[in-house]
Amino acid sequence: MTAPLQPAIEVRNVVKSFGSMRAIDDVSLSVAPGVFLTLLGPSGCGKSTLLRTIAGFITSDSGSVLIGGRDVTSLPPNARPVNMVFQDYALFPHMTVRENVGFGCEMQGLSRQAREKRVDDLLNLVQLPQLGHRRPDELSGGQRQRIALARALAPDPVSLLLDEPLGALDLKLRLEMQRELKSLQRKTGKTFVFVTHDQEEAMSMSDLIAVMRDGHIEQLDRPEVIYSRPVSLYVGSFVGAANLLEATVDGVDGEQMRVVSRAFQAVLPRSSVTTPGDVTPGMAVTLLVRPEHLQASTPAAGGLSLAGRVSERTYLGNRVHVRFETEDGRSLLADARAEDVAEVGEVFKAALRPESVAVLRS
Amino acid sequence: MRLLDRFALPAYFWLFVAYLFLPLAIMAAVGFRDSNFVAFPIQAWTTRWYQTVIFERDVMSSIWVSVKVALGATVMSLVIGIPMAFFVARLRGFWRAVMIAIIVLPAFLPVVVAAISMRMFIGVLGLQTGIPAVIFGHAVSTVPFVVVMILTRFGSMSPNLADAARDLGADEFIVAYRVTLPYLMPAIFGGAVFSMLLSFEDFVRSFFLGGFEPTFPVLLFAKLRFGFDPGLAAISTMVLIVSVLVGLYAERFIRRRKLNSSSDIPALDNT
Repeated sequence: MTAPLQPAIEVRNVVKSFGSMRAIDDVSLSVAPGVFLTLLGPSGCGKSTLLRTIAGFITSDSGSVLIGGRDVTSLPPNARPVNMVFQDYALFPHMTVRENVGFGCEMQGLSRQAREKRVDDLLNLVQLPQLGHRRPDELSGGQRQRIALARALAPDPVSLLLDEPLGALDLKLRLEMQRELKSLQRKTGKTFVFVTHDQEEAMSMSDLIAVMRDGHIEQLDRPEVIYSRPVSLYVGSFVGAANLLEATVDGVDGEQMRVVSRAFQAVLPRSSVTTPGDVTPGMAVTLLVRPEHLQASTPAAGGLSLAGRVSERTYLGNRVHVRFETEDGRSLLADARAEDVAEVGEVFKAALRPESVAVLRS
Repeated sequence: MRLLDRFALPAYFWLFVAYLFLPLAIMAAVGFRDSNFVAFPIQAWTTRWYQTVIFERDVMSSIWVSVKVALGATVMSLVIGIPMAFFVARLRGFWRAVMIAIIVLPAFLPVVVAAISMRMFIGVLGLQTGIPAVIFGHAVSTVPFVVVMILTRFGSMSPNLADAARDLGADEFIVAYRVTLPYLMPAIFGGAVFSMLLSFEDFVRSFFLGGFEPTFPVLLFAKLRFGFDPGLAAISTMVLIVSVLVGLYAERFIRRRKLNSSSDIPALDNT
């Protein structure tokens, strides 16, 4: 990721307000060529606004946008070397598939022969070479999706911008398109900037995820880091299931620290603090524990152990989801092996390795 | 309830249909009456009226005047209406409502009042009554229909469509010419046909604004005053058939195009 290449897309201190609402609040971002970046967040977090600002449909109040090293801040969308895939695909209904795919090349002034060749290549790339003469309303949802991709790739953009393009598809097709999108990105080597509110989608496809909140980027990192070392409660609970345990820092000693609460105490490495900044004794923290790290076992020395009565048990074949209530009234979720787990009403004892806890400053 | 569903409602429906179409049927039949006077029932039949009326100079020339007026008014209402629709489509909220109200107002004005005011206005401008004045008057009354039909179509157009074209390198002119106008075409076509039919059948405005060359409805009115012969029933029937065919064709055309493009919205029925 630290190749000495020019970033494909660079956003510098972009601010955009609608009325009194700051849709984008001083966002800076740099995307290296060939990276699949996902802007992830709930609706209204500014992810689509940011994408449309990069595309040029929205003019930022301040800040600048660079594409392939060139400042495009003042350029309209038709002069920017990026192309967009829209949520509703926005295929031109009165044109055939070929005319749709060739539209961008036509605008670039490509000769007819070159254009036809390019259209053929792209229809092959999206594996729909036989549908060239259909109109968009004669295609299925998945086919439209692929044609929209082909159309956006046809002018050979520096980067492809995708605005929740899988939102309208049913689950099975969505999973299929996720794989296909990822392989298309690998094949073309293009930079993809993908917008979604679906964290699983983000996890499964992205090289990098930017989790957005209220117009700013809360955390930008690889999916594994976003998942295991979230910088805030917001990120931690938006991505994946999480058990949140409030506790207080009792003491800090070199690389170790001690946290206590009514139900447990534990010695954790100081490096498990994922929020920027240091911790001091007396500080309130939240421990974020993923369900799959809560395993039935005898407590390890210094580690964290939690026990409670099982209130709910969901059998999933290879795994079982266990909800158990601790004595101090917490409801926790464990993703455990089926053979380890107590029945509803019995006591479930779980332990977890100190390294698997993320400590967040409250 | 069953009795109502089975007999009463269908009977009511067909009674109403008879009320709508019986006069037309009688008119068509009267055209076949072998007599110089309009009356019913018909004892002797002839196709004479249908054959000869086509060669009547004043009838044919009035139809030709009406066609010219209808075409002129249609072109004019498209030239006025399309840019207006583009303008209003961009507006939102209060001003949009105000603009639409202003545009549709002429459609709700009492026709006689509108016609008289237009007559005076033409006088103020120093224009003569005649075909151009009639065209002018008709266009004022058909523009609202054109604009409203196009705006309705605009309403079903995803804003992403124009954005997609821009994104692929089109400037505003190309967006309008290659994407927006083709998308609106069914509505533009429908508005044009509707304008043509409205103009063709208009009597009041043509009467007030017309010159020495009467339009077809004005000629019919003039003839009525000197008595009616079955020939007028015959020509009226032929005009009726042509305008119904045009109307039905336009309706079918618009519906087919709309059905097709209603599926630009991503379908959930994936295969």
